Amino acid sequence: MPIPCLSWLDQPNRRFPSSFIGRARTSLSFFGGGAEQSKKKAKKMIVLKWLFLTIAPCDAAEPWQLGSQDAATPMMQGIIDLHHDIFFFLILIFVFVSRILVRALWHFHYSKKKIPQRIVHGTTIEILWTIFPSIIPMFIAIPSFALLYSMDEVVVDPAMTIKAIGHQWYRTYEYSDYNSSDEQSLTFDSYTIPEDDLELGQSRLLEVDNRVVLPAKTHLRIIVTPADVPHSWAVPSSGVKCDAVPGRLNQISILVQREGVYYGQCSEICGTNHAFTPIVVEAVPRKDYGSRVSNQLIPGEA
Amino acid sequence: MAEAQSEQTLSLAEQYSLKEKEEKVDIPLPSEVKEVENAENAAPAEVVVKNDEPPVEADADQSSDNPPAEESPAVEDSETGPAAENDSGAAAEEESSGAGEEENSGDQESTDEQPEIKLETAPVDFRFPTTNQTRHCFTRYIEYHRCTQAKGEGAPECEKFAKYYRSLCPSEWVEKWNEQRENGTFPGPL
Repeated sequence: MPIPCLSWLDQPNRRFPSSFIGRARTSLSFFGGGAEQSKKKAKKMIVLKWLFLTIAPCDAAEPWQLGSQDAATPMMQGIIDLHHDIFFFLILIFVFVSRILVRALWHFHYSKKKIPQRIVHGTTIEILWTIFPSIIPMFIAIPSFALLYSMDEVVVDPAMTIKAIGHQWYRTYEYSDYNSSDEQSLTFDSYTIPEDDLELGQSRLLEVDNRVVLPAKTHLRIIVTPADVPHSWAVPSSGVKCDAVPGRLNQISILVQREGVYYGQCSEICGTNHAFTPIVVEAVPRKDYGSRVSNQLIPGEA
Repeated sequence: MAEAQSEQTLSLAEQYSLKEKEEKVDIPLPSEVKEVENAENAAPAEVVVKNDEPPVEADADQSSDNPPAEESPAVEDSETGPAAENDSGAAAEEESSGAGEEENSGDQESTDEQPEIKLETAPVDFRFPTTNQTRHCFTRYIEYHRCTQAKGEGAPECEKFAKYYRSLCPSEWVEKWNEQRENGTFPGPL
């Protein structure tokens, strides 16, 4: 039974406004003069809808989302923190540069100063504006590279390995740690749920029939590879975007810090149904994971 | 300490490489390492056979460790106890900072919940530190088959290699390679 990621919570917000809009539209005919007003109302509802959606507690992309999704792994937390740190200085620099620019335009406008100043060079300021801009990227690069390489590095032994194999156009997941022979014991395909079969609360083009079930708070190794053309395995909340290259196994190691359902999409053009190859990761508590897997293993459903 | 150190300084490649002769190949699990430490006298022979260059380091450690013991032979007995404890403590620290940590925590977890499912998989291999794990899978596959060739089919020492390559390789690849081995067209050094 798939848990619809709390999206039943935001569902009313998503549904009611539209029905409200519908009702508002139909009421137009009764009040001839109220057309403007109800249109405004409808617009307000749409704005409200977006507002609520942005608050919706769902680890999936939201309409008109500007920031990152909530972090589920230390990696993503690091990325978000780096982004915010850099943005602080970025805004400072932006304000400073804009101020200089606007001041120059304002004070040296031809209507104010008919005779242009003829400054050809100023050694001090030239040295300054050469040195500083070249130091700033360096200071951005240091934490950036530190983060980048720490993401690559696998320090602890992972507790389990999952193979995410991209196909045109679905994903196969192999849990092979429990195999006692070359026969696969726990493998399943994960297809997107077609629009017509969606249940209330499921996200369009994001929901799949078989989710990847992972234990939370556990070091995981995910081996990403495709069987045909390049794909990509990307889950924004976990800070993962790993290209799947034919003939190559790419490894990512993640530690999901909280239980939840995380949504991602294929991020490498892989053909016609590229847009219909979502990824859904369900992180469950570690002890539940054991029972889940043993339930799947014992009936031998593959 | 010397033993523990030299065990640690063995590179993984050395640990995993198959010997010409029939010899113990398997990696010392942390628990085994501890046993070795406890039975300090029993270990050296085996360790010395295994090492090529690490003994230099181990000797240095020993020489730095020994002098106080030689100065006061009478206290030696009383000192060996705490010294051994320190050693095992240091070794444990090394393990926890290194690869052993996950296994330890895994053990704890398993005692907590005692499931049929044990969370364990191929460990980090420092021969393959990059994102690209293609070679890792391939090497594990080869290691398994070389191991079975050396020790006979179904040798218990080889099982872990089988587990590793099954964890790492897509089943499609394994099937292909198995087929190639049957046809004698497998490209790897078997």
